[in-house]
Amino acid sequence: MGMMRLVIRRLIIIPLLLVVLSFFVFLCLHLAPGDPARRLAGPRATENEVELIRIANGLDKPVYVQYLRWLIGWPGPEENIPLENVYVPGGVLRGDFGRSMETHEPISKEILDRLPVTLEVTVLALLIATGVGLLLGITAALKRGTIVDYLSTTGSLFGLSMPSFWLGLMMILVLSYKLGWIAPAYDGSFTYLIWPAIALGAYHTASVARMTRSSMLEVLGQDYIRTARVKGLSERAVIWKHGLRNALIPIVTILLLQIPWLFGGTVILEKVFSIPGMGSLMFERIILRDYFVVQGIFLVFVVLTVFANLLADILYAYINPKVRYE
Amino acid sequence: MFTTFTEWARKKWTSPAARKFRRNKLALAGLVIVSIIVFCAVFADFVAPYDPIEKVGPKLAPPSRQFLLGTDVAGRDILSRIIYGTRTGLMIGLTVVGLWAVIGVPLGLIAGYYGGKIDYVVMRAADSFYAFPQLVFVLAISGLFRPGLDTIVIALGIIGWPLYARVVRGKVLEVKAEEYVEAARAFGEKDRNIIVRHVFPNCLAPIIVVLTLGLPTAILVTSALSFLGFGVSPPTAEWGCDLSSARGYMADQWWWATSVGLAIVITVLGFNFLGDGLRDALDPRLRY
Repeated sequence: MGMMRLVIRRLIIIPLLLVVLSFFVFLCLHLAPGDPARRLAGPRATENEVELIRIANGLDKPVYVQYLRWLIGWPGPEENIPLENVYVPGGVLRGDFGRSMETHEPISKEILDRLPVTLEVTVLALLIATGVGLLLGITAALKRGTIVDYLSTTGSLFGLSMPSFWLGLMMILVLSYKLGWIAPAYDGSFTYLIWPAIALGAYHTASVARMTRSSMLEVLGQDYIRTARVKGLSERAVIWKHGLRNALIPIVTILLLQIPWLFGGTVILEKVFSIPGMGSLMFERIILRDYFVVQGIFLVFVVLTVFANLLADILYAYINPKVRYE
Repeated sequence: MFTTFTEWARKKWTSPAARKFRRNKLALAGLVIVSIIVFCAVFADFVAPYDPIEKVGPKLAPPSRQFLLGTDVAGRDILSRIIYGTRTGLMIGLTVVGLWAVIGVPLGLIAGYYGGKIDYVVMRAADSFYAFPQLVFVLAISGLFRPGLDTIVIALGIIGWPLYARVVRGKVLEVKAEEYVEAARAFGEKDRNIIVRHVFPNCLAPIIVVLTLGLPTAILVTSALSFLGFGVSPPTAEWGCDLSSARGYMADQWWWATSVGLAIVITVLGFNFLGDGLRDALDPRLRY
């Protein structure tokens, strides 16, 4: 019951949040120096041609009109304007992200082509971070003070201190150049993505392991764990049912905070492993000052983050019954 | 004045927190690493064997007596560039962390002390920044505005403060309930004075801890951005920048990328050790 209420409350907030964040994304572009109309018309265009492009894309209108057109596609371009001059997003809500100033292709298509591989790397990294991190943390907590604990704890500190892009470079150096196991650049296969995912997830694995260890140690010292033991529950039931379930709360919090960073990290590792994802598209177009593409990718990352956070919130409420009745 | 300082130092050095810190081997290791790095950064002109920007030898020479870590593609000494890189890295990192502190600490103090609507607004703003892909934001801003170091530092400053505001706010809530704050209020002291004289000094411990742990994050992020070609531009000696040049020569000159990366790892590790030790000594319950 409470669970449903939480989900519904979140679902009401999310559109609001998205409107605020989308306005922010729009504003970033609007405040940026440089004239999109001039960029579109090209360096040799006359003042007159630039003006025509400006009017065709509604860039002469007040900010709020431009934002409305950008968000919902209304008011659209006037009847007599040739469509080949229109580049501005005609309603991102309707999936019209505009056209690239560089390739003249629809941006939504360009992004959709690049999105899957980016998502694959991110999700893989998240799975690795959660799985390996939990395992390491639990082992360290249960074997407190032994060599296993020591290795896992120090290893985690190294993981937290390693730049993901350097880790990726070292993987290529050893696995590709020295051992010849993998190609030095993305070969299009899914299994290859495990490597960038490990490099990307290393930091998060380490922080999950650290949090799991400290939170497990805290929980295992609590009265109810002692009670469970006294009741004669098996050690396994004590650890998995009572221990981990309660220890998970701070762990999920940490994961939740790191999802946005994970998306940022993907962008870097795409460059290291030459993966043609959304991140590499963003770089290519930043250099070419292809405004609407950069803006579109920015927006997609923001929306992905918001939904990832929603999922994490629901998971959080599922683990921690207290939240549901807040 | 000198005696008071030595007395103060002795008192600090023998306090329970300091004793706890001194017993922590990792923390001491961190302190040593950080000291060495700060020394290198300050005295780079004396520590580094060569000028970091001048061509001093053949291109891509392997490590030798003359060039301990070899030379890079422009015939510059790699070791000297790494040493000068500590200066660049620390300066950028400190600027970013400074921005986080300047924005986050006052907001946290105000939100925690006044509570109510102000608290609500500040913390909701902090939440929405949390739920934002920080790195993507910085990239988009530097792409849409002017690519360059200052744009990146400012964008990072804008995006990173919520953590600091949150930690400070949490501590303020604790401090606010203390008797000395209530006493000061009973005496009719102004809110501003109470915050500056009583609340802020008692929040210093967690602030020092999160800032120490924030510095390695700032260094990692800025070097990543330079690696991508968005921060520092060549020929400045900067680790991320050098890594991106070294990337193309990994097959044959593996020591170049390896040593530059290790410099980052050691620096970040040192600050993490130190920060962890400071937390255990000053504010063990702080979750970060």
